[in-house]
Amino acid sequence: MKYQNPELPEGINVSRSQPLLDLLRLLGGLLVVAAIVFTALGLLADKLAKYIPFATELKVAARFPDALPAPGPVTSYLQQLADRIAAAQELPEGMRINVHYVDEPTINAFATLGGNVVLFRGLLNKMPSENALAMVISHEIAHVKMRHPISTLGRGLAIGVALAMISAGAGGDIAGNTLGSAGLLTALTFSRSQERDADTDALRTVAKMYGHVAGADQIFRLLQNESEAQLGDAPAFLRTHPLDRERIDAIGAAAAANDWPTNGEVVLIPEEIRRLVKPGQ
Amino acid sequence: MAQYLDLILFLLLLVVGFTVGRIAERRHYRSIVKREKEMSGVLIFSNRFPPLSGNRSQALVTGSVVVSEDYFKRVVSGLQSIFGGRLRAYESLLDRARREAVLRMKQEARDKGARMIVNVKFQTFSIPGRNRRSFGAVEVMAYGTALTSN
Repeated sequence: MKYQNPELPEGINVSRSQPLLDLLRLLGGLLVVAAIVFTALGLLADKLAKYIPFATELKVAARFPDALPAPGPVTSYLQQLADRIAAAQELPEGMRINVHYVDEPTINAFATLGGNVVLFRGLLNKMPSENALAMVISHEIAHVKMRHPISTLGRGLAIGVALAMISAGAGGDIAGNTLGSAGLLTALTFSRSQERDADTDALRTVAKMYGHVAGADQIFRLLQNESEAQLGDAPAFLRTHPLDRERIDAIGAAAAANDWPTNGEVVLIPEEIRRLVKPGQ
Repeated sequence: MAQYLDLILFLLLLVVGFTVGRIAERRHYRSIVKREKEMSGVLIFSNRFPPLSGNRSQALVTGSVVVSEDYFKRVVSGLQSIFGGRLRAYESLLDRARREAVLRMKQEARDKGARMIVNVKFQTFSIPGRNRRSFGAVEVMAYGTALTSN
């Protein structure tokens, strides 16, 4: 009997593969799965957020370090106005709005967790009337009322957790960090439909408060002119609140449908407040 | 910019892992095929008992290799492990490790003047152990009994 080692053909233990194609195929599959999961999580967060008690939202908000400016005369004026708006807007039991005034030239306003509404000096300086200002504040209060901040946070958290699980599965720390920071970025803005809902609710409130909606659509026209005047440097209010012809038209249509007069006497912002929000003060 | 830094680093590592890993793998395979021909004079068997009788001296011979994945293989395998299925990226890696270990064992046997190794076995050890977040590297060791005719 003769013993020998036969020469084995090359490649019998290795399957032929095209690594780059494999990578693309896997990434494609992952993308499809992720799209389905994230859409489902987003919808769930939207549907479930309104069942989170506002008291719980306040506790969540309290976890974030408080870097809000100290109140001044402008704040107390804004707070009084917001309290009147909140009364007209029929906020649910136990929901309270806290207005904050930031002395910076940024043209912006936003609502965040715990019923906090932040207004910047730049925006206040542009307001032609109290009616317009009421529309802005009411729009932000509508976000709080419809629980948009907590649902955005919930969606951001759910997607963040899902991303962390996927990237832990993929094993890469760096990939995980990248996906994680992408997850945070998506949590910062409200959706277009949320903005539209807030517009409608705000317009109803303004109509109820003043008996007409004059000055309300004024603000959008004004801000649009502003953005056209400084091309390429759109005010932040516009950037975070995607605005186009459609939105102004929607407001007009809502006013017409509900028989809200678009003409009426507008209330001016008190002189001492207007002095305080002028640039360079 | 700061949040893109991670992404840039990730893509950079992916490209480096792919190109360097591929070049290294091709070069290694060329060397393996060439040396396997040179070493074909040393026969290896998995039988526990020597096929030939007679007066022979015996010696334990071993060949060991530690081989690491590259970043590209790691990412592809990580993604593959989500869906399951063959980890093709690792098949060539472990094939190279096994063959290299056998070659080193044969080299040791030949240096001892042996022309045959019996009872050949493989043993593997994962270098990072159970730490899943660590790098992926594996030791493959081949060992057997080299027989030298007196």
